[in-house]
Amino acid sequence: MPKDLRYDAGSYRDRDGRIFYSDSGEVCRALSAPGLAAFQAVQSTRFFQKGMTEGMIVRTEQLESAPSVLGLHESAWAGTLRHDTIPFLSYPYEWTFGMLQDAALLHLELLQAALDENTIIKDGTAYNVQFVGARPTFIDVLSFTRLEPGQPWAGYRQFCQTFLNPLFIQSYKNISFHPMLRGRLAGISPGECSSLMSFRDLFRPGVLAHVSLHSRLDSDQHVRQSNPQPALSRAGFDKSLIKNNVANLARIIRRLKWNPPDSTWSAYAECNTYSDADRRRKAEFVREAVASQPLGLVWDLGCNTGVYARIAAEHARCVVAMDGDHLAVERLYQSLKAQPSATGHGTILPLVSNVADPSPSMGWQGAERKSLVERGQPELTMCLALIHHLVIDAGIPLRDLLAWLAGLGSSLIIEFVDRNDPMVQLLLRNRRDTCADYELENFERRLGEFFDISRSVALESGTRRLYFAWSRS
Amino acid sequence: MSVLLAYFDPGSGSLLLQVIVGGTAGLFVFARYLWESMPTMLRVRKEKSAAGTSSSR
Repeated sequence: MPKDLRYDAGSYRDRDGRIFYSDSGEVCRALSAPGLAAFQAVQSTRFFQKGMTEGMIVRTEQLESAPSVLGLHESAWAGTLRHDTIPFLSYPYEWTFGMLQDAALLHLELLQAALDENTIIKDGTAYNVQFVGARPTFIDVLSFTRLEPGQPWAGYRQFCQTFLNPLFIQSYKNISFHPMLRGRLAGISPGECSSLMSFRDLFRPGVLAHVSLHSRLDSDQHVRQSNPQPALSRAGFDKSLIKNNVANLARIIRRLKWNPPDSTWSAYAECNTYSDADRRRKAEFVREAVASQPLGLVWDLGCNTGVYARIAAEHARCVVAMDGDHLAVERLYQSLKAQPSATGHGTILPLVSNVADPSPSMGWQGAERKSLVERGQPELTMCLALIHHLVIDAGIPLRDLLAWLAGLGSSLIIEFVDRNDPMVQLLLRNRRDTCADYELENFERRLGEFFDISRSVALESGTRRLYFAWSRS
Repeated sequence: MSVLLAYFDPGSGSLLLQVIVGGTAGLFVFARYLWESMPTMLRVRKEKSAAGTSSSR
C-alpha cells in the first residue's frame, strides 16, 4: 500500500467501498466491482438525481480514472467516486434534538423515494448523515442498493438504535441522548430503551411496537437463533410492508417534541447583564475583527443562541457554533432553519459541545470518529463570555486554557469578565475561591505569552474587556 | 428466492417486527409465516424437552 494513501478510518465496514483522500484533499470513494455496479444503477434513478440537486444527497461524480494516490492499490478497486466536501464533520452525539429529528426524517424520505424505484438504503445508521450548516445531507451513496423481491429493510434495527430510540428518550423521558450515543457508536438498543420506559409510556406513539415488542423479540432465544428471511419471503413479504413501516416511523418522528424547562443559558440573550450600548460595542468589535481577514473556518465557543456566530458568518466560509447547553443550541438550530444565513454568507453549524469535555476520537483503533480538533482547525476562534466558566466553574487553570487556545493556531477574539461582574459573582457564590489566577493583570500577561494582542476595548459596564489577538504558534 | 445478507447483523427480531408493523397486509404475512414456521417451532420445542428429560436422568 502506498504510504500516502489516506483511507478514512471510519469507512471500513462496507467492503464494497472505502473513503480516501486525494493528494489535493478531495473526498473520494474507491469502489469494488459490485459497489460500482450498485452506484451506476442508482445514479440513473430520479430520486438520486433529485436528491443531489436539492442537497439531500451529497454531490457525487464518477471519476474517469482513479487519482494517482490509489497507485499500486488501484487494481483492487473497480472505480472511483468524488464527493463534495462537507465543511465540518459532526456526529449525532453533538446534534440537537431537532437536528437528529431532521436527519431521521431525511433518511426516511430518501428511503421512501428509493423504494418507489426498487432501491433500498441497506443500512440505517445516523452516521450516514452530515450537516452543511443547518441542512442535513445523506453522505453514504453506497448505501443505496437494488431491492430484491421479498427483501426486508436490514437497516431497521440500526435506524431504531441511532435515530428513533435517542429521540424517544429525549422527547418522552427528557433524558439526554448525547452521553448514550457518545458511549456507544451502535446507539441505544431496544432493550435499553425499553428499560427506561414506564408502563404509561407504552401508550405513547411508537413505544409499544418499536421499543417494547422489539425488545421482547430481541431477547427471545428462539427468534435470536433463527433466520426468518427465507420464510418471510415465502410468506409474501414485499416492499409495501417496508413502505408502511417507513411512513409510520416518519409520522411518529414528525410529531415528537422536546419540551424541556428553560435552561440557564437558553434565555441568556434576553436576561444577561449587558446594556444595549455594551451589546452594540461588542457586535462592532466582533464585526471589525472578522472583517479584517478572509476566513475559512471559525469556531464560536460558548455560542449561546448564535448572535456573534451570525456576525462571523458574514465573512467566513463556515462557522461552527458550539455550546454545552442543549436548549440554547436547539434554539440556534431552529432559528437557522427559520432564518438561514444570507446569500453570500458562510454556513453556521450548531453543535452541542462543551469545551471542558469535548468529543474524543472514538471507535475502532480510537480513530473511527474524529475528535473535534482532528476535524479541522479554525482560522479564528471566538471565546466570548466563556472563560470565567471554564476557569472558575470547570476549574481549568487560566494559563492551560490560553495555551490550548494558542495551540489551535488561530486568531482569537476573547472576552475577559472580571470578578466584580454579577455573572462571576454568581459562579463564586458557593465555592472557595481557588482561582487566584483569574485576574485581569494575570490574564493580559498570559495572553501576551501566547498571542500578539492586536487591539482591545473595555465595555462601558466596566467589568468586561474584549481582545483580538493572533496566535504565535 | 434470494436471501440477501447485509454486511452487519440486522437482528432476527428486528426483521420479524417489520412484518408486524407493516400494517394490515403485514398481519396476513405474519399469519402465513407462523403457519409455515409452526412445524419447525414444535420440533425445536420437542427436541428441547426431550433433551431436558434425558439430562434430568
